[in-house]
Amino acid sequence: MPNAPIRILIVAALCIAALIGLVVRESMARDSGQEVQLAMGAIDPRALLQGHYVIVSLQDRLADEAPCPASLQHGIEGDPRHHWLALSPNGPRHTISGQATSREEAARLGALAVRGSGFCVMPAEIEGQPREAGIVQADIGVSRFHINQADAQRIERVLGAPGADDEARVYAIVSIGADGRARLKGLNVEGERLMLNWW
Amino acid sequence: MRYKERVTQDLDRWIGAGLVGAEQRQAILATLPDTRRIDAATALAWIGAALLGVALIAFVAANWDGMARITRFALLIAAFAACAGGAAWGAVKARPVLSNMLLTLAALVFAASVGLTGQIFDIVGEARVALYIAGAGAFALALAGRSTGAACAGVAFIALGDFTDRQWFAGVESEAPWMLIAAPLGALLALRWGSAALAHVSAMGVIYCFGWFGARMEAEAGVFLFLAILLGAFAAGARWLFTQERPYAGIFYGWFAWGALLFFAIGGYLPWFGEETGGIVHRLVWLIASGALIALGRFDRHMLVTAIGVLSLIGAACALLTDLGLDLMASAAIFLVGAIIALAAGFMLKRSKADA
Repeated sequence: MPNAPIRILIVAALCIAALIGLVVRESMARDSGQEVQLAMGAIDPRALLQGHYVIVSLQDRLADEAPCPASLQHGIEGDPRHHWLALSPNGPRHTISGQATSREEAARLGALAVRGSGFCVMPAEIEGQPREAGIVQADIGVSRFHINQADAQRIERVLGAPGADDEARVYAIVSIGADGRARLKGLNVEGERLMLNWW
Repeated sequence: MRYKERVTQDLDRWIGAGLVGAEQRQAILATLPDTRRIDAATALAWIGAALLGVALIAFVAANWDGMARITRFALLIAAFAACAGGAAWGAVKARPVLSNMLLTLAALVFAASVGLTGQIFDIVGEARVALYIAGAGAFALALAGRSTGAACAGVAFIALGDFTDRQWFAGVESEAPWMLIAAPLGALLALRWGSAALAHVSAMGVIYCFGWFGARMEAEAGVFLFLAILLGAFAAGARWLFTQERPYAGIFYGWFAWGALLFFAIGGYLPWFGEETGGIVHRLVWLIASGALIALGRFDRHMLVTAIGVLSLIGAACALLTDLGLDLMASAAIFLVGAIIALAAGFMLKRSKADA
C-alpha cells in the first residue's frame, strides 16, 4: 500500500476529477438536450447569504376559455417526485399540457416529456364578469438561476410588472436531456437571452 | 494546576515526611511527561493564519459576483488542492497534527465545493446527494491520511444527508440511512485511532440508527424495549472493552447506556401489547435501572455513566410524580420501596466486599 502522502494526493486527485467530471458531464447533457422555453412568474428572487439568483417559478397562463388539463387540475396518483410532464409547442415557446406517471404516458399527452410535476388552478367564476384564465404551475427540478446582483434586480422588476396583454415577459430556457431531466440553460428576459456559460 | 505540578508538590511533602528518599525525586518526576504548551509566538502565528484566512475569504466573497464562472470554479479547486497538498506535506514531514488539521479543512472545502459548483453552474440535483458525496469524500480523505477530524466531518455530512428531505415514520420500506454504514465505520476508526471526538460523534450516529429503526416500526413498547435491550448489550460490550483499558471505549459505554435508558423511557409511554402503557411498573423499573446505573458508574469510576444515571433518576422520579398526580401517600410508598431496594443492594455489596 502506498504511504500516507501518496494516498492523500491520490484521493485529492480523485475528488478533483469527480468535480470536474460532474461539471463537464452536466454541460454536455445541457448542450445535447432539446431546448424549450417555459413562461416564468414573479416570486421573491433572492435570499440573504445565498448569493444573487432568480427563483425559476414556472407559471403559464392558459388561453382564455381554455379548460385546465384534467391530470393537472385533479392530480394523479403516486409520488410527485416520479411524475412526468407533457410539453406542447406553442409558437416559439412550450406550454405544459398534461401530467402522467410514466414517460410513455406523458409523451402521448404532448410532443415532449420531462421529469416533473405540476397543477392547474382555475379562478372561481364571478357572475357578470369575464372568467379569468387558468394558471398552470410546474416544478421540473430547476429552481434557481444564479446571476450578478444588477441583473437579478432587473429581472425581479421585469417579473413584477406584467405586460399589458398578460403575456409572460421572462422565460426559462431549459434543455430536456435524453434522460428526461430538465437542465437550465438561461433566461429569456424580454427577448434578451442571458445564458449560462463558463465565463 | 497541572498533574506534574501536583505530583511535585506531593512528592516534596512525602520526602519531607520521610516516606520517599530525596534521591528518587528526579527519577519519579522524569516518568511524567511535560504537558505540551503553546508558546506566545506559536499562538500569534495561529491567530495570524486564521485572520489571513478570513481576509482571503472576505476578499473572494466581495469579488465573487464579478468573477467568471470558470475562475470561481478554479478557485475552489485550488483551495481544495492547497489543503490536501499541505496535508500530504505535513505527512511527509511527520507532523500528524498539521496533516490532520489540513485534511479536516480539505474535507470541509470539498463539501463547500460540491455545493458551490452546483450553484456556479446551476446544476440540478438533490441536496441529500450533495451531502452524501461530501461525506464520502471526507471519509476517503480520513482513511488516506488517518485524519480523525475528516472522519468526524464525514459522519456529520452523512448525518445531514440522512436528515435532508427524509420522510420520518414512513415505514420500513423507505430508504435506509447511510449512517448505518458511516456510524459503525466511525466507531471502528475511533477505537483504532484512539480519537475521543470521533468516538462521541460515531456513538451518537449509532444511537441515531436505532432511532431511525424505531421510527419506522409500529409505535409499540415491544419495539423500543427490544432496542433498549440491544443498546444495553452494546453498552455491556463497550464496558468490557473499557475494563480491558481499551482507549476511548468508555465514551461508547456512556453513550450506549444513555441510549438504552432513553429507549426504555420512551417505550413506557407506548402501548404494551395492547392499549395500556407501561404505567407505574415501568416507572419503577426505570427508577431502579437508573439507580443501578449510578452504582455501576461509581463502581467503574466512570463519570459520564454516573451522570447519566443521576439524570435518568431525576427523569424517572419526575415521570412517577406526574403519573401519580397529587397522591402524595402513593408517591411516598413507591419512593420508600425504591429506597429500601437501593439500601438493601448497597448493604449486600458492602457485605460481599467485607467477606472478600
